[in-house]
Amino acid sequence: MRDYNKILIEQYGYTQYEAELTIEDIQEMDEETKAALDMYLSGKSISAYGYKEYTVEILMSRYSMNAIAALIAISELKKDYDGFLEILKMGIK
Amino acid sequence: MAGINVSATDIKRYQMLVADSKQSIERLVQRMSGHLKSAHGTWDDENYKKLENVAIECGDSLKKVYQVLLNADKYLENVFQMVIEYENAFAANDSSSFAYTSSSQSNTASGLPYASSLERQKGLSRDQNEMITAGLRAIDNNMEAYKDDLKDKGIVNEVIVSRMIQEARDAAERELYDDVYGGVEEKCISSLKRLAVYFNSENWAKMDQSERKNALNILAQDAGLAFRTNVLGVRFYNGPRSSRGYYNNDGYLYLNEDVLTNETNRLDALDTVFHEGRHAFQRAATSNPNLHSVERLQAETWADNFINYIGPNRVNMRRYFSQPVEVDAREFATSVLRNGGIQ
Repeated sequence: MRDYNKILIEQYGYTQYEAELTIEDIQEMDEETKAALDMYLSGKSISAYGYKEYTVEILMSRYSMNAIAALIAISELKKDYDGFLEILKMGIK
Repeated sequence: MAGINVSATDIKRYQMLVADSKQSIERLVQRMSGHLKSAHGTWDDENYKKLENVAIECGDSLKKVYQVLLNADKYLENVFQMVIEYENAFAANDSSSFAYTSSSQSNTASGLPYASSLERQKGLSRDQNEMITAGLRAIDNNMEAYKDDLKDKGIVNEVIVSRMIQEARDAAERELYDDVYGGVEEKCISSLKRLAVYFNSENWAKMDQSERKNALNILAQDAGLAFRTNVLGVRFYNGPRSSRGYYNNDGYLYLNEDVLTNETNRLDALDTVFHEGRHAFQRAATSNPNLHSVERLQAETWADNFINYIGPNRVNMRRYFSQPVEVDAREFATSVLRNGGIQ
């Protein structure tokens, strides 16, 4: 079992609060996306991983997300495609 | 008048700067000649000659600068007269019809006058400031009376009394500030309606980037008055399409520059002005909730949220989207646009 809290804070510079929220989201992830996350944390490329038209690479370039946020976004798209798409389309402001 | 994007007040400010610069040069020349006089006879001839040469060289340069300033002064005076005439002509015009009649008065791409040439909304008048002072004094007196009233009713627990008085004072102050400033949302809607001629799809399509910038800038400054906070204007940045805007607490509302180049982003530009303006308001309300007519609990929620703000790049974007300050800013901007009659 990975220590996500330690990894997020020490390797990715998350605050404790950000790490706690992110760990909740990791626990809610589908198994396939969670496996992709573990691959990423092991140093493997997962940029082509995605759902429908959204890949990690696309989410990172269009929304300036890091790979972890992009994987969470993909798991959200899998759960509620239309709802999350609406959030993505609104953009960041 | 093509491309003039300043008000008479701006020009007066430039003229004062020129006048200050001229005076500085005059003082500098006087000081130099004073130094030369005192050096004469005390310095040996060779060094004095060197000093004199340096002074002459400086003097020549200063003369040139002074001449430039004189020309600038004359030029500004001419521009000032033109702007005054233009502003007077505009003020005499019926604002409901100027969009269709002003092409002969303006060389802007759209034929509309620059938004900055409109008569500007102003901050509080002296009367309004006096209303606040008197109102706060009356609230103080009322709170003393309320305290006695509570005592008469047998409510003497200090914690309870203090809380009840605080709540009553907060409510009274919020009401006072709303009476003086006008409701925040209502004022934003009226700002939008006042400038609506610039933001209908037909006119927006005719406006060039400079006019669009100008109109958004004026809208942001007007919204700042409505928000009871100092919004200096809008600034534009080159960012990915998904990044629509931000507020970073420096007084400016930042908008993606594609709102200027892409006609289809017109409504998004307006939405972003009110969304980012609302963030400026939220931040100001955390330090003075009553002045912004915001309940203390709401202000504390926003303050906590700003401390633990969830950025969209590292954490689940759904969490970013549903945090209190974002929900409030989004709902506020949507409501202003819906009620501002912009389509």
